[in-house]
Amino acid sequence: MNITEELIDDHIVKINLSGRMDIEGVGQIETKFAGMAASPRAGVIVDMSDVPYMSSIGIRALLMNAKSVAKRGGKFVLLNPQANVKNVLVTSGIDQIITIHSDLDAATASVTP
Amino acid sequence: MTAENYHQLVIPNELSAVRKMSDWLDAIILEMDMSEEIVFKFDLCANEAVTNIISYAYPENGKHEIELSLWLESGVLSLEIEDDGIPFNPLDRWPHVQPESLEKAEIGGLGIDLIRKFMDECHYVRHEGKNILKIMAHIAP
Repeated sequence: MNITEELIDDHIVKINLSGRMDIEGVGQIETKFAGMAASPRAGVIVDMSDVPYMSSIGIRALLMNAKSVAKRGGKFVLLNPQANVKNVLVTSGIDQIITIHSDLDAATASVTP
Repeated sequence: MTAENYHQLVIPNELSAVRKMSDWLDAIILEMDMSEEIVFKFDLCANEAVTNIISYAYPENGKHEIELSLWLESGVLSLEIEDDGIPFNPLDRWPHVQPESLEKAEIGGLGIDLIRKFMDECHYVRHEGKNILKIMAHIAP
């Protein structure tokens, strides 16, 4: 997997994930992911458009980062998961606790303090 | 059962072998002309099941083999996963709880819950020292 970040403004970061979010993939990015989602970013948007696959290990990575962002008062949302991946998020009930957006503007607005 | 529709793979009980299993599964199911959705759900469920086996069926560790068999018969695509670990039925090990809040969300049992929801049938038997998990999807004609 690959991971990159773009600052949308001083407080909002868009984290771009690409590749399979399975055990191997998550292992490759988890440290960087945690770093990119850390302070002082108040808003974190995770762009999933380039992730064709996700298993429960991927859900765990998203949950862990979502929790740590929420714990420090920030906001964490997902952007544009592919259909099969979105299905996993919905089936597991994760969409009820981490908001999924299909549009960058809406995602940005939702994490803007 | 026609030979062309029956496929087997043996992998070691190592997480590093999981990607190879996915590649094998994806290739065969695509060749069967199945939809992307079917490929995805078998890839997902196999990952969840095999990860659990590798993590929990061998408390003494050691080198073991996990056998996967995939076949299409009478409109049903079946994947059977066999291991010689301790008696371990992943299906009844974890009850599922839908996460009600971010703070309370846990992922224990999530993998098994995904298998139950994405597959039409799941069966487990313990037979002659082996755990045999069979997961099946009914393929629309």
